[in-house]
Amino acid sequence: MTAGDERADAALVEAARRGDRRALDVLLRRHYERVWTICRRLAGNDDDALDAAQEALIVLVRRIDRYDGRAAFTTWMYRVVTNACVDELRRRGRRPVPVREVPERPADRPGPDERVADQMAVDAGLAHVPLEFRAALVLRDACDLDYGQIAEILDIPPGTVRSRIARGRAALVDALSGNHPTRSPRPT
Amino acid sequence: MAMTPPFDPDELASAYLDGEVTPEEAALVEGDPALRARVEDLRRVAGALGSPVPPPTGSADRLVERAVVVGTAPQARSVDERARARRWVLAGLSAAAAVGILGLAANVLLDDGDPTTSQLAGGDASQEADDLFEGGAAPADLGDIETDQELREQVADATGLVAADTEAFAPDEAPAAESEDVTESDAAPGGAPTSGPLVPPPAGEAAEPISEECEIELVTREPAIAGQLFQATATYEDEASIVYVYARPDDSPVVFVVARDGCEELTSFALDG
Repeated sequence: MTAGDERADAALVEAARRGDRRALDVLLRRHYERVWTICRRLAGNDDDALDAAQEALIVLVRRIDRYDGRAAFTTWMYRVVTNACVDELRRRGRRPVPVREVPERPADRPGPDERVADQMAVDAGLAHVPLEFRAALVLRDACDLDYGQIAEILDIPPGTVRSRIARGRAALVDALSGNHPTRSPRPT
Repeated sequence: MAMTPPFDPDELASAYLDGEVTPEEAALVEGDPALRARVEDLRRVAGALGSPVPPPTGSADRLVERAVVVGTAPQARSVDERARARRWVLAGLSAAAAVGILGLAANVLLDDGDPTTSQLAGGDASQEADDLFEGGAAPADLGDIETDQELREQVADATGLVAADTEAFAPDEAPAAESEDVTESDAAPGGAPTSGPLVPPPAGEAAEPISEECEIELVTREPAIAGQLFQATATYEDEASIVYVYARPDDSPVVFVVARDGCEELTSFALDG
């Protein structure tokens, strides 16, 4: 995000708070891919991700008046969306659909098939990572945020962010290598 | 955050991968082949997780449009409304408690007094109000309903909203001074007074949504409706249902009945029609 992007967000937020629905629409579309990325990676499948993203967008709209401008809009948005998606997934009692076996990577057929296989493998692997770890992991690897930003978004100390990302990644490596942990690591 | 032995190799390798290590920690990783190999393992999963998953075609239009409609619709259970409803009931309960205390004082003056009566009369009104609203009150249930006319009367009874062709609202029987007071006995489980005209009508507003999915479906399908005035469960023509009352832009109430399972609309009509 550039300073120009942030100024554009601030102007859209201001207009949206005055009741400009078009501004609200534009603001949500500007950030839709981020919302989708978080919810999709947390949910592990398209159907649950769509439900979670819908809930997250509605929460964003309903809370837009509470954005006080102290943090960048994207930071605030990530916080609201991550919490809304996690809450929605918890409320539904759903975890990413676990796949019994990690799909075989087609060794001699690179390209779209391999990407799909990778994708399925990641979804299956993430099913073994607790939501708290998954949230930190997704914000880091899928959203490219640094530990300080993630700490602010998740409202946890940076040391906990570091630990959760490490343990989440380790669990994912285990899952992708077929070494499913007998017990999920406990969040700290 | 600098690590001293014994350290967690995964945490060190992971933080190194993200560039979130001290120079000492970086040197530790770079000097250890096992840690460098672990960094590469973690790099592969980080890369896989970072590969984009495109959203389904058309989902942005669908989800954003719905979020704008639903998110900007007046909420049935906003904090402000809950607080307003709470203040309103508190005022009623306090008035009731005051009446009780006056009664007790009269008893004490005229009689020898009874300590148990004192406790009852001084029953904590705010606690009673808290109990009513604790955790989002349970929604009202209108019971078995067979016809729209029957439903119209039930809704009018439960909300105090005027139904032109029912006798549920009888202003002549409710003097204005008394109609403002709400006692515990007047309140339905959902915080909804069960009798007398209500101004404003917070009936059902404090309740948690019975089905958010059906609420979203309805608001999306009926963009002309504005704030929700009431919601309750019912068995309509033998089907488990949800009854919603919404205000139109001109503030006239309209009733919708949807099946709890699948949110299909079973009937709808203007309450004052």
